[in-house]
Amino acid sequence: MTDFADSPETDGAELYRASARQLIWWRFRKHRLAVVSLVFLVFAYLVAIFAEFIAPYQPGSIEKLQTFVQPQVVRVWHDGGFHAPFVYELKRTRDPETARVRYVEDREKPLPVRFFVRGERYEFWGLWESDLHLFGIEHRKQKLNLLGTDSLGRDLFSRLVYGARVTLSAGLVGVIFAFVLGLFFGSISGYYGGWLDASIQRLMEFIRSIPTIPLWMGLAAALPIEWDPLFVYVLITLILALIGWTHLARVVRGRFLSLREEDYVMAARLAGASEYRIVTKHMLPAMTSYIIAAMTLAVPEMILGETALSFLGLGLRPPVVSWGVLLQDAQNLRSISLAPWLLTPGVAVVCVVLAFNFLGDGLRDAADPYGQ
Amino acid sequence: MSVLPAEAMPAEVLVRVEGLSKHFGVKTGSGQALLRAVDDVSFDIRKGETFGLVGESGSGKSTVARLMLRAYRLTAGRVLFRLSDGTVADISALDDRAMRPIRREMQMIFQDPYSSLNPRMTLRDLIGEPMSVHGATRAEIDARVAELLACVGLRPEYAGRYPHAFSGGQRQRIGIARALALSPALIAADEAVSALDVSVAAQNINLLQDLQEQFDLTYLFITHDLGMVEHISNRIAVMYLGRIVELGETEEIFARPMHPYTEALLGAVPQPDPRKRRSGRRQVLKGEVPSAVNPPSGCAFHPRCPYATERCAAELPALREVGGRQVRCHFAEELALQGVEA
Ligand SMILES: Nc1ncnc2c1ncn2[C@@H]1O[C@H](COP(=O)(O)OP(=O)(O)OP(=O)(O)O)[C@@H](O)[C@H]1O
Ligand SMILES: [Mg+2]
Repeated sequence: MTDFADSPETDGAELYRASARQLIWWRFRKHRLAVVSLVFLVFAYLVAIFAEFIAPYQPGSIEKLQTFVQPQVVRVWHDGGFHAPFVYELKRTRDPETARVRYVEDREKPLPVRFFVRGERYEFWGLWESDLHLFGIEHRKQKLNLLGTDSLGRDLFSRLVYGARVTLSAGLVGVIFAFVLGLFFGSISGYYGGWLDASIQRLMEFIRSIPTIPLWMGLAAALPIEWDPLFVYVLITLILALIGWTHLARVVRGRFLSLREEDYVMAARLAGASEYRIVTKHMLPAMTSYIIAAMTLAVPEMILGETALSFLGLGLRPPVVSWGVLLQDAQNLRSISLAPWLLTPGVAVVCVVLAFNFLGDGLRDAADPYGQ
Repeated sequence: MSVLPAEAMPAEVLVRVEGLSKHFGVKTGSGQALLRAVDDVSFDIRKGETFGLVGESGSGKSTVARLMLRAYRLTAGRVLFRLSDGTVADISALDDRAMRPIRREMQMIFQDPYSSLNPRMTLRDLIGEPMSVHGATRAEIDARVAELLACVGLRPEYAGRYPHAFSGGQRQRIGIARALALSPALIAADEAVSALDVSVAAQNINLLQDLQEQFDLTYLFITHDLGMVEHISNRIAVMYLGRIVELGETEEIFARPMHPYTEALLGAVPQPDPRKRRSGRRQVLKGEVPSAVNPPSGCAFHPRCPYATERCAAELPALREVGGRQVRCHFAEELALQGVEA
């Protein structure tokens, strides 16, 4: 049996009455990195959900006189004393030698960062209009660019926040679709076995052998350019899922094969339980945690897929904002040397992908509370 | 479903298996092969008795039990079962749906006390499952589960706990309670105590014997350890590589085995009482159990048999009646084999 001795709840009857879900949770909690990742991901998804409110500006609002502004530092120390958070006003100058535009902080003019400010109007999820933002500065010309701006003077932080919505949900939509396919094919393959299993296995091997990049280039060429980019994006996730389901199907099939041999499944059969009851009461509950872990590990693949495709120009296109699209902006050497902050979406991708992987690992380890 | 008249088998017989065979298709290095897990096995189990099924690992004991309870489809043979209304049913050809009402009358206790209980269900749901499958109400199930827990020596308050809260011996009792839930006539106990410590095993065997008396149960008791069945089985069948090699009353078999394999199994039984030590030589099994995919010619036991002759390698002995017993050996009459003194 597993040792739960260091769980605070282990005293007496509580452990004995603990359901599988509770045992999984107790074990998961011991996995610090996974817990931190979970918190981080919840935070990331909250930001994505409330993007309009959290982003100080609209993702598309251009500022011709503020292109390639470097990330601004929020300060609290000014003139020999502590202040509420503020940024300095920027003065646009030209480098006398290279004639390049530079932004210099004017140390005389602090601009306080305020919370719950009125700013650009937006439509929250297309439901209602508002102009309330979580934070911002009140100034006629100057903007607050926490992560700097791009070649058109658009605020990178705002674009990152809006991009999170598309990128993080691209993963989920694709994974849910892949989940349905994988669960369906994996269970019939593992439960019935025989020729059905054999043919599904061959199909999966075929799908896994398809070279994806040429397939993508072909699709990108085939899809009409005038289609709504968001529609194309949904199409992309679905097609990614058509390839991605094989992974989950393999997990589900393996679990079915091993569960079929479990004595408790035999016991249910001998008790006269129907196939449906055996599958839904005995087999599926024993694999939900595995399925959740596998799905968690599949999300980052989808995110990377979207990012990679958009980066190559095969996936999402402007005006849709996704992390892949943002990285496409950072594609040339000039912007990397001139505005390295344009690579921050890459950092965001790495963080989210790592967090999903840590979470998935933690779930997988905690998944089998009765394992050795 | 083929219902036979009550006279189809003698009144005292509860289950009759005739020519039972199960062949599995298995993958070997060189492709498909046929594994004869059970081959032409026939025996009767009488009402109220404990019928022991003994043999080394791989001899096909579990497969016989599973065929009898129709967990597997038969390759050949018949299983006749006397239902509680006195009629005899041929259950060998029934599909799952037709089997369902009959399942109430036959249940199984499993060897592994860990894998045989779904870790995600409380005792109440585990023990109550056979009842809820057969349409009992919640209140009926709750009451019956409490009663059954008491029967197997567990506190009724444990109904809300999960199996991980219990030791191996206690889990085995939970399995026993589940098998009793539908008041079956026949219980197949497949190595029901092999996984337990000696003292816990003894306790559970006592429990099984008490329950047998209390509920008029008939047991098919499967074990690889002959010593285990001596005190609880009325009759035993010894299996080797899918076939029965000897079948008879327990006492007679222990006193004078007629098949060299039985003698060897008896030789392996530890004898705690020094006054009852066997006189003379003691046969010990040599070598490994041959593969069931590619069994030896003639008598499957001949490569390991100290008395084997050329005839044994060439000719499969038939299962014959010898002195009120069935033996599958060419030399059953001639050999004077060593038993265990009572
Ligand atoms: N589902 C199956 N598929 C293929 N072969 C099987 C299957 N079940 C059992 N066998 C084979 O049939 C033979 C008899 O197995 P069985 O489990 O009945 O033996 P047993 O006497 O119960 O042994 P043990 O003491 O190990 O439980 C073995 O060789 C086994 O490998
Ligand atoms: Mg067995």
